Amino acid sequence: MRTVLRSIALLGAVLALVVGELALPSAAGVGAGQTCAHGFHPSATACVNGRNGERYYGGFDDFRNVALTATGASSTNGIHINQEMWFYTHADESQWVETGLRQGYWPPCACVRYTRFWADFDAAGNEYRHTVSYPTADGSDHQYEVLRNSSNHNYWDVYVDYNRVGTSTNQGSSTGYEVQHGLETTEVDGNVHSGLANHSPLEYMNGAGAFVHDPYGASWVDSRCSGTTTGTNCLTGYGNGSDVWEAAKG
Amino acid sequence: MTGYWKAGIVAAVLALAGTVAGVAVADSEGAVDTGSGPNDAPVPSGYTGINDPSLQACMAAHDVCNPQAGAELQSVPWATPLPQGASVMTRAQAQQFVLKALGVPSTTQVFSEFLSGANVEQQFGISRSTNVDESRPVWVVTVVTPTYTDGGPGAPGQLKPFYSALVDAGSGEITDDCTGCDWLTSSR
Repeated sequence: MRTVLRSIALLGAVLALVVGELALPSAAGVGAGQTCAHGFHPSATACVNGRNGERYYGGFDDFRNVALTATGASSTNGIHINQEMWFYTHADESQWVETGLRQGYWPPCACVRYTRFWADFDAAGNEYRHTVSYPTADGSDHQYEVLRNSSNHNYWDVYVDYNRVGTSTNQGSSTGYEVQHGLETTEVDGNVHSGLANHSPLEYMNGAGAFVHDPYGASWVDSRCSGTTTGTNCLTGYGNGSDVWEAAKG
Repeated sequence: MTGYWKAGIVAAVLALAGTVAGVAVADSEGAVDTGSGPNDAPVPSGYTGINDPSLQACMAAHDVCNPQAGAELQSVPWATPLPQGASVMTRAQAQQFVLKALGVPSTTQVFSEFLSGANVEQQFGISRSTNVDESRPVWVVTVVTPTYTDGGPGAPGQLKPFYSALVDAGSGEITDDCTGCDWLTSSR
């Protein structure tokens, strides 16, 4: 009896460690227990990332043309701050398609300008950037979508306000593994600011071809401000409902 | 029974309960967007929601499914044909613009070629934005200089040996670029 109890106890301890490890927020990735992609540019984002093995065939986001500033940006100081959506096509987050708003130095115009853009990364890590337009920060809402191409399933169409603005042809994948949205910046200080962007909703296209709401609300915020406050040296990011994400930089 | 054993048994029960709970969660998925919920995706007028089959069919077949939002896409200078007789950048101007955009010395090694937009897509397989008028002439420019990609929230920028860009020869702006691409290995 004593041996049996000892075995059960040992098994319990091991099992607890394994389950506990899975529940811990660990390095970025997809799958059970993983947080949203993070670790390089400071970000305040929410995501769906295959917690239960889901795969994605489209991502949808909607947010405002919020005011963004990047003081001091130049060709030799590439600071920028973005509000956008990322759609990852590989489980290791090595390739993705992104679209949204960016303020900071924008090499395509050799200037500092508020830009709507889309971009993608190929298997070699090369980055392709495309200017969509130069809107105004008027607070208007706009819709962003990355959707698997209906003919070539390795291609991913990018839409703004339900108009196709481009197609990513370099992903080499017919499956999405993570959809992330929110704020990204190159630094957390007084040089960069963002108004509060109401990212609502984050939805994904499931295997049945239907857009569904994000049921989980996974998130990652670097240098998080307290609660819903904003600050010069912190990022604001908080959920406001299961698929609504508020992100700002004071 | 010692405290150690008790703790182990409690841990086993909790772990198993957690595993069972995890299985239960695995069966759930987000609610389908019906187009009528307060947080459902807004869609252009005439459609019932993001899952409206007619909207999805439009998006699969056409670039424009929301004409009211099309004005912004047409507001960039490269969205319309270049007027006949309009001046275009010279090779030297295009090359110097790209070098300036990168903030590198004007003596940096650079290659260029003058083509129509349509030829660029065919020749280099570059996927450009849909609002580019392909009849407009472009300068393809490749610079041999170490350049960092932007990276992302979870990926550091990578140092690449080349940078290539498509310069709209009419407006003088880059419409598409690639950090890491050597679209040209010599001027043509």
